[in-house]
Amino acid sequence: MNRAVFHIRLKDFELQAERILDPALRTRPIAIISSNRQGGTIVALSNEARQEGLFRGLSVSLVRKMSTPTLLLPYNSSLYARLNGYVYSTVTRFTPVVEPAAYGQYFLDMSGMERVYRDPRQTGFNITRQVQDKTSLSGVVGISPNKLVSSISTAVVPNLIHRVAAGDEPKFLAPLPTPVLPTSRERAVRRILDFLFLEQVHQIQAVADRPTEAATLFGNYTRKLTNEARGLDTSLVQPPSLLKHILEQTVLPSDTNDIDLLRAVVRNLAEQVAFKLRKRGQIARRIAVEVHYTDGLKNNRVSRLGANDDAAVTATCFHLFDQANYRRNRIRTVLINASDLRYYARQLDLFAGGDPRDRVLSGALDKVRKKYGFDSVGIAGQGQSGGKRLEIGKLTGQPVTPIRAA
Amino acid sequence: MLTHLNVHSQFSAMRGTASQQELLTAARAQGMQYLTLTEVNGLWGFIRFVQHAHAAGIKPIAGANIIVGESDLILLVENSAGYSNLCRIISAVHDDKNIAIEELIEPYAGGLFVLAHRYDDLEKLVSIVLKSHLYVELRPGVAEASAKRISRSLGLEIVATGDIYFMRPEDQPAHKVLRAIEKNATLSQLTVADFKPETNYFCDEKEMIRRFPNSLEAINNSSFLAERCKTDWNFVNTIFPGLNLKNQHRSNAQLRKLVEKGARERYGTISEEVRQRIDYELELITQKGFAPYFLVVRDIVQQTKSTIGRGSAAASVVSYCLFITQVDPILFNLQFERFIHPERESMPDIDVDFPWDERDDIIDYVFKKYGNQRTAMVASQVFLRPRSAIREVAKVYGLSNEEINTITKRIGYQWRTRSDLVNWIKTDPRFANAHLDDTLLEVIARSQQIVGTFRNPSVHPGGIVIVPDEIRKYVPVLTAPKGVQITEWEKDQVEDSGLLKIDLLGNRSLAVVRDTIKQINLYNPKKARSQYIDYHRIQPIGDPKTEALMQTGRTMGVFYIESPATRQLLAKSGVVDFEHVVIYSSIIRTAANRFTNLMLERIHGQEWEPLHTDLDFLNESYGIMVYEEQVSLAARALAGFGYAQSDALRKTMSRDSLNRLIPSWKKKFYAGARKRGYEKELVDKTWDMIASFVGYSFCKPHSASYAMLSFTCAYLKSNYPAEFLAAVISNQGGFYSAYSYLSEARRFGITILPPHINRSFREFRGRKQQIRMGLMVINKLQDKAIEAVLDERKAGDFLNLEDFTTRVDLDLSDAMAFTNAGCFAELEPQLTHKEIAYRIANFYLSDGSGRPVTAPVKGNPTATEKRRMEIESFGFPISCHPLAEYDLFLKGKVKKARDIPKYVGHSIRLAGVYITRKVTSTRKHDPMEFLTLEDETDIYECVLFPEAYREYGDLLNWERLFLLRGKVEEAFGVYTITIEKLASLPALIRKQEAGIRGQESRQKKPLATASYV
Repeated sequence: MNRAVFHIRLKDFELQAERILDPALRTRPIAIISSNRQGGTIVALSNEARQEGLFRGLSVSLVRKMSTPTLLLPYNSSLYARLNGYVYSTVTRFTPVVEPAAYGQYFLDMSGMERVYRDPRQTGFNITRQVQDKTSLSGVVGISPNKLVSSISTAVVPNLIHRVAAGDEPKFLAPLPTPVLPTSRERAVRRILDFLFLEQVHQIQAVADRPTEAATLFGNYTRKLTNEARGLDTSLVQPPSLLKHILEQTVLPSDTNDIDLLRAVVRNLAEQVAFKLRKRGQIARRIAVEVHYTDGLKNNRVSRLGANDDAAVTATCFHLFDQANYRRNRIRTVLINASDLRYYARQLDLFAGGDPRDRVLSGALDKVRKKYGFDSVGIAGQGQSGGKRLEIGKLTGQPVTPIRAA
Repeated sequence: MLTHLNVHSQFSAMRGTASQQELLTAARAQGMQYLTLTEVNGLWGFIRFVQHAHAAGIKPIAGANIIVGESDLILLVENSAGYSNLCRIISAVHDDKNIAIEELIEPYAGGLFVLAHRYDDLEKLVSIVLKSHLYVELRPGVAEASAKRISRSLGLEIVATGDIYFMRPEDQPAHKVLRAIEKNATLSQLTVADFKPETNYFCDEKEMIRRFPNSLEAINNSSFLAERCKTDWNFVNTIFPGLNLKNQHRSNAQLRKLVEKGARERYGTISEEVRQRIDYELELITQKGFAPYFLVVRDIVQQTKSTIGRGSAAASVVSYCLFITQVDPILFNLQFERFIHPERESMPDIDVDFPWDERDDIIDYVFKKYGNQRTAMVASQVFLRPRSAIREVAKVYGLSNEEINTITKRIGYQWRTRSDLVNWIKTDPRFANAHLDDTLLEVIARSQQIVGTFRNPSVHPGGIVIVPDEIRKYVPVLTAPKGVQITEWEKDQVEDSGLLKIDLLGNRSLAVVRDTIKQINLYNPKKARSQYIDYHRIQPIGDPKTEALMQTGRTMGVFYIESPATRQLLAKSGVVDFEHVVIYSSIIRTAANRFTNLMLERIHGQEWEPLHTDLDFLNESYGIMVYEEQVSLAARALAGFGYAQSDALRKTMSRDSLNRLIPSWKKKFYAGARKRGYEKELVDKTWDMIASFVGYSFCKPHSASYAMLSFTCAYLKSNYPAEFLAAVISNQGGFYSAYSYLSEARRFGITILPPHINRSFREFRGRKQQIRMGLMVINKLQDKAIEAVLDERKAGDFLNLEDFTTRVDLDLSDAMAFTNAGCFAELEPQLTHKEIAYRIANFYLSDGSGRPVTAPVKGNPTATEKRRMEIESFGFPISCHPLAEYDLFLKGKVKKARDIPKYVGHSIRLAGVYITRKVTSTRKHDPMEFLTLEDETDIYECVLFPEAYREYGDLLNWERLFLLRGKVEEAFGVYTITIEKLASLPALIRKQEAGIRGQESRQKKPLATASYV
């Protein structure tokens, strides 16, 4: 059975989303910016804006100085999330194995579905048409035997559908510039590639044909880079439910360094992670708290969990957050990533450990949350984050409704 | 009756928000006779406080708030011995922040009153300090009952204080912001113990009674204690370093002997005129007891060859004969009285410049000779100015660097005293595109409240104090992070306190002269040693090549006359003898712009009449006041001031810290002149000229010293341009960037050679018409790599790449930096750059076991790749001009800079690379800007008048390559472009390219199934 991985890319997803919301923007030069503050950068922009001399990654302060007529729109995270969810539900009708990669990007594993969908090109066309019919978002499809080549295809080929047949991957990649390969963007690799003027993938392929020489130049990255240069990728398309990690994040609508509010956000995220862990009956051997600052820098700290009740997870996350957030810069995003998940075999404590009532309380909360939704109930904050829980709604842009008597 | 005994001003670093003047005014308004300043662990602003207090009619008390560990004491000075002890205690706290209070106070308790509010502290101190000098402090936050309990148990009296940190309760948030800055925290991270509550403001007696209703005696005690403190401060006695204080006579004899010897060296035979001048000066010097001072300075100057004595000392033939100064005061008619006058009260200062890289050795020598016990460097006190205040507050509010820069980059140095930030930033066109949101506005408002706060001490570039016995007796000292001992006071307070300061400053141009001479002598080995060029023997004045260079204003790199304004002044005047250059060095001041134009007209033959016969001393400078001493002379001539008074006026005009006194001096000047019957018009005109000296001015001897160095540099540039410009770039820190100096070298017909592994040194080297770039210019190259290459090269040149790689042990990154900079290109001429790169990568990455890597790409880099590598390696391209990239776009659309004179009166289009800029203001205070650009053919000057500045000024904050349209103007034979339109060249091209791509994509609709090529 031949593998067939589709990559659907809704180009300039955020831009298209804004134009759907407000058709008056369709002919105007617009740019979506990561933050309305001076430190933000352009995330997506229209062709009209490109003609004004703007480009992706340009800083907002510079755009303002250039005094262009381009309309700068702030990053509307909740709009994009809703639309992304809607597109995701649309594409899952074609196959159950769909992995959302980023906003407006999805991998579809169509392997073994030749009998249902005879012509892959036609299928790709149908998918994009259905997405367009339902959301007015247009996209391109890349078809190849793996995720890597499909995603590169949608990034570099402007055509609506492009298929790279099995065995044609090296030929397809050969003329492309080296930065299309993810490993070539690693700093150590980039340095060597630049120094040796290896600008196109076929040059890496040539080096890769001589393994000893490749190992000399690229060291630990050799295998990864040479595989990528040849278009080899064995990673699977994984739907979110099968992902081996739980990722929760909050993008704050306005950057802040108010420690009370931030701790409230961390508590909220930690409780969501704990809730999901308990639902799976799992525990995380690795939990990371990451903060993204307004100036683009990020920092994280990692630890492991000993239990999955709210109190234990929250305490660990607070500790990690305090360690990670050593700068005064305002924070834009807080992210908690629980991975290396294991089955949680609860044992009797030999030594006095956490309070057993925490586990009972978490269990009680879970019952309410399963019935009325996660935000229906929460633990009142303590200490510095006390009284701030209701403000999370304001921060995350999602209303937090206090629990009502059933 | 209340007297505040625990008061913190802005000098309590990052704690107090009130200025000394505000506190004194409030104390006066509340009817207090005394006021104490008790800064935290310091006497940072004490001399200023005494001066301000005398002016406000308040008796100043010296004190300090000593905070070590948990202990918190107030120390007040009872007498002179107590003052010395306080200085020693503060110095000890600076030495050890965790010193125990009994260890701190016990040896130095004499002459001090001690107030403490913690029982633990008082219990320790009660056995060390006399009970008549130890008090329980009742301050906000301390319960009356608790103070009374301590008082009863230890048998001590209670004194009430306000523990003041700000003027009004509403200033407390600013105090909190200061604490957050100090603690490197955000506002929400501060704990209650980190800042003071709203109660700690400058309250009146009524409020104190309301706070402590049962402690009226404690409140009255504050006044009784104030009466017992020392308040009669004067600092008229100068504290000399002394070579041998016990034998003044011996010092005088020694000085005379050395001057005689020096005079013979300087003049050959000593004429009667010189003899008389020497005798006159020595008589005054010995009379005033300054001989040891001269001997100390001479001793320091002897440590190196290239020095230049500047300031008023250049008017002394004694200094000249001791080789402290380099200008003959007799030949150039410099008046000794500007230096030492029989009536002058303040100490004359001798400032000496050394090559910047030798200065630290000189200072080490001084410390070794006189010891830490007697010597300290002068501090520079760093205050929060608008720019730094906004930066610090913005960090507390969590703004990113880029967000902060949008405001701070627009605040120039000259606006460092602005305090009305909110209004200014909202209305000034400089901030037109700044996009002020609520957070930024709050940051600016908070910054406005803390501008002027003392931030931290740093080390003054060269001020040094030497005392005869113990420095800690006179001023608290601390060790700066760079390890040197410094005083708490900055140069003005040091001077005003009577301490003798010697300025040993680093000067890059002296190092440039030294290095140029070294290169000239090095590359001319055939010359006899006696023909070697020597710093003291160069005779630049009268050299026709030197004068020709100055007349055309081609003085980039020449000390003090290289700025665009001065270059234009030289070119416009066309008269460049020594006397005129001395005038130009003095008149280039922002406030004196209009007088510069007036002088130019007079130089070019416009008739002029002296303002008045009594002001005939102005005739030497075309009737315009250019030197500081002319201010004093005018004050004496018109207002009838005495020497001391006229000198004080001169000092007031030139010092920022005394500017607030200008209105009162103006009043005195006008009153004096009116009394002596001078016409108002004459007085107005004279005062107008005096006012142009505000903040920044020179005396004639100082200008003469500088002009001499300018002439020396100009001589070297005109006769040895490659050697000179190489030295300028190597010594860095000039007015222009290295790129600009290399462009200037090209305009002198000099070839720029890229770095070479066998030929380059660390620094740039010039020889005849070539400059070889130094290895120092290569970015990302570690110092140790340069060191390793130069060390290994002593054993012989590298023969080839293999020889290099086997002889020098480098990191891969360093080897890559050498390769990309083209260092190996001539070593392996048969190999292309890419092949060299593969060989290098192969050597440094392989462990020797595998086969060498075969290069899949060969050949030399394309022009674009080469330019990219050069920009990465050096920061600028060297194989072509930065505008070459845009040739296709610019061809036929712009004129060249060398053709500007052909288009006088016309509007033309030009392209240009940024060289330098200067923002200034019109007389109506509208901002405008001078801009210097260059293209492949020449450098040219532009001006953006307020209207153009409003529109395009912001562009200059971020762009370096421009396309402009402007009108060519000519004045006195110098051409400038008045900018009408300015645009970013890359942005224009990007826009044009995007437009073309847009058109193409509209024409070619993508085909749904077309395959990708």
